[in-house]
Amino acid sequence: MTKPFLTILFILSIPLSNYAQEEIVLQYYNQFSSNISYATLGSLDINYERTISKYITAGVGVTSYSNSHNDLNLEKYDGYSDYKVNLEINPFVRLYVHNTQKKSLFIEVLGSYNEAEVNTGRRISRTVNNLGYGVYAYDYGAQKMENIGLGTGVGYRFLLLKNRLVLEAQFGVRTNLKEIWIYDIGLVRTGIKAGYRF
Amino acid sequence: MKKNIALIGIVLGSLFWTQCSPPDDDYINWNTIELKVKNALKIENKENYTVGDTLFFELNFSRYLPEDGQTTDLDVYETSGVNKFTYGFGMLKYSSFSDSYQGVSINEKYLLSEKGSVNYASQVFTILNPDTNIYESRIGIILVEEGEYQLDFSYLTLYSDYNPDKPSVGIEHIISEDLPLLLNFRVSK
Repeated sequence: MTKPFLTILFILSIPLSNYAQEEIVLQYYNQFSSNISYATLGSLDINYERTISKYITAGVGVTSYSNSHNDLNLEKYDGYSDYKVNLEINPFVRLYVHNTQKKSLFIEVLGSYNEAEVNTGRRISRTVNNLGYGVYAYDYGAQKMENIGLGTGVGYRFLLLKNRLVLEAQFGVRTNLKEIWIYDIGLVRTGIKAGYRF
Repeated sequence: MKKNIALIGIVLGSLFWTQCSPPDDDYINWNTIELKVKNALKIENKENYTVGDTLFFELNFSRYLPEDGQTTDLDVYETSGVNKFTYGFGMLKYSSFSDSYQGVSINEKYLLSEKGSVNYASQVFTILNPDTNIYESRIGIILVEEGEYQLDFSYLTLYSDYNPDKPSVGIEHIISEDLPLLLNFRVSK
């Protein structure tokens, strides 16, 4: 009786042992990545991500936006003026649905510090020309501002080449809290990223 | 876990789509500079004409005009960026049927433009003479029908041609008290 029982127990333990073998092992803790989509627009984007637990990572991203990128008008200020961000720093926390060591869907919560320029609209002003006559002309002004904000994103990360190479796609949005509230949302940290884990 | 993800996705999606529609990004704040010019209109009114005669009027004003509240004259051309200002005129003919003066449309072939230009809608364009810095127009009306007529210039405003990059200029023409507002003339055979 004991032998068959042990045999059955052994057979049943095989799938259970497989499950046990699939327990997550934290392999690589650090990751650098860059947004390839941004690079095609001339923007520079660098991210560092640190694995904290089986499902959680935290990191920071820095983006320097190019004029071509800003010309896409992906963000508004107060509903209508173009909000052209020059520099943005995004601390973030990610939750990987499957785990941090496998390809996985992730959800991201991010903060933002950004420096931007806002068009102040067209104004008219009068000056006196060289001949002493008055002239009215339009003035297209711009105002520099700094803002802090909050945002969120969702994406999927693939791990290739023995889990060293990272390829991920993400969609993210962010609103500024200092000057404007949730009325205006900008597109951030969106596109295809490639990176390396170590 | 999947339910939580779906719930988070719904919340995030609704957050994104509930933002109000922003105002039209193409809204433009139009600015028109308003000036005044006095007695710039001259009408050669003989009061009695024969069919086939031509009645002339001209309106000329300087490129540099005084502006209320300013110590320097305004360069109208450099401000507006256009060398044309437009104004309209109307001619009325007395009708016995109504015992009043009625508006008359003038065919383009009966309009002459010695300076500036005029179109079928009785719209006159004063054109800047770069040598004199004067916006000029001299228009003739060939009188082809007998009758009693009026030319009314009592409310006359000139507007600069449209230029998207520069402010518009509107010039109100003022007639001094000793000049008539309505000019009456007769055309006979």
